[in-house]
Amino acid sequence: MKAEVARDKLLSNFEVLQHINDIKRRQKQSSASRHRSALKTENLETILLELHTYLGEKAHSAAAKQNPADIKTFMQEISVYDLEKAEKLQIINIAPTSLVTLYCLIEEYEQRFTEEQGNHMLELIQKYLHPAPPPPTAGA
Amino acid sequence: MFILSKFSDLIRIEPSKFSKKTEDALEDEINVKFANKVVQDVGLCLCLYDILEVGDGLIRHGDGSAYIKTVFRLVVFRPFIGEVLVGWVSSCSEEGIKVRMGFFDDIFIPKEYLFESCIFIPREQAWVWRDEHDLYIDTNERIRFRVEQEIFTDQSPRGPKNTEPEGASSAVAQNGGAAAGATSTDAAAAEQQQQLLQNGSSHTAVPPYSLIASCQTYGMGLATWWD
Repeated sequence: MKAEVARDKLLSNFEVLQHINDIKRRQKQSSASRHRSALKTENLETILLELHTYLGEKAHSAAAKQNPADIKTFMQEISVYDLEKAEKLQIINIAPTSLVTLYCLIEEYEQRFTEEQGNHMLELIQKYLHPAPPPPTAGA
Repeated sequence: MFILSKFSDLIRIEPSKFSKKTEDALEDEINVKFANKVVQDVGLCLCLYDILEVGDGLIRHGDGSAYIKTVFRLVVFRPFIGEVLVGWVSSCSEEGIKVRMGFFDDIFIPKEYLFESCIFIPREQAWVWRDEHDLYIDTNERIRFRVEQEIFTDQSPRGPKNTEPEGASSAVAQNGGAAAGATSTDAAAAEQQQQLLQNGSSHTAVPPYSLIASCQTYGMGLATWWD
């Protein structure tokens, strides 16, 4: 075994969720036709289940509600700001709903952007990235 | 937090699997070998993403299996340093906070990396951030944290020098006693890192891949504080 390129591409949570849904769909198809044993291995099943729990709807994950068209529009609209690739990726994964959360995803925010720009970014996130509604606040 | 990694490997297909399509057989074998396994300095492999190249199937003397040189990409969990992730608090101790993500549970926030005015309350087994109010970090709460450091620990057998019986031959199997005994030969730095991790876990086995995280800036900590 040889790792040719350890970091070939970056994937967003949404892409991973889509890929595991894809695998599950194919598993279903192949179990419908008579090649029942195909694609069934214990370690794969375990990790797929755990990943699905993490990225799925129950975990308040934004990835569960996103779709490719919206993410594409978001990337086009957010490109007016000079954000790093990694920053955009984290914004899509976490889909922050408050300024303070957005600040911690963007390095040296105060020197690069204003509060108004931050509010505009939040608007775009709300519109295209479908952040999960914040769970009811448990009294601190 | 997820990446694609490109691998090349010689995959063995047993004769009993010759009835499958080659791609299906390869996919199954690759997933058996890599899914939910840590590869040193690459990360936690999740599953096959796609197959890029398939060589000719070769047969060896004395073995009916086909050996196929394959180039493929895997989905891998490997957050970059500085990335912000979300997980759940699995336990609090005097040393810090253990965080789990379900598919990956070896995340530890040492007390030095918590907010400055954080204190541990032994009676409640919880960390409290004394800011304007007392903010509790309880178990099973959703927590946001920043990745500070990644630690890979080679789990392969340590060779003949080690006199203790070594049961850990695969990357997943772990032998706490042997690992602890063998660290004396390792660099002091590695030992210190392992110590740091062991402090946070109830068992002494060292995970093959673990993350040290921090919770020091505004926006970090429990998700309910900020949203």
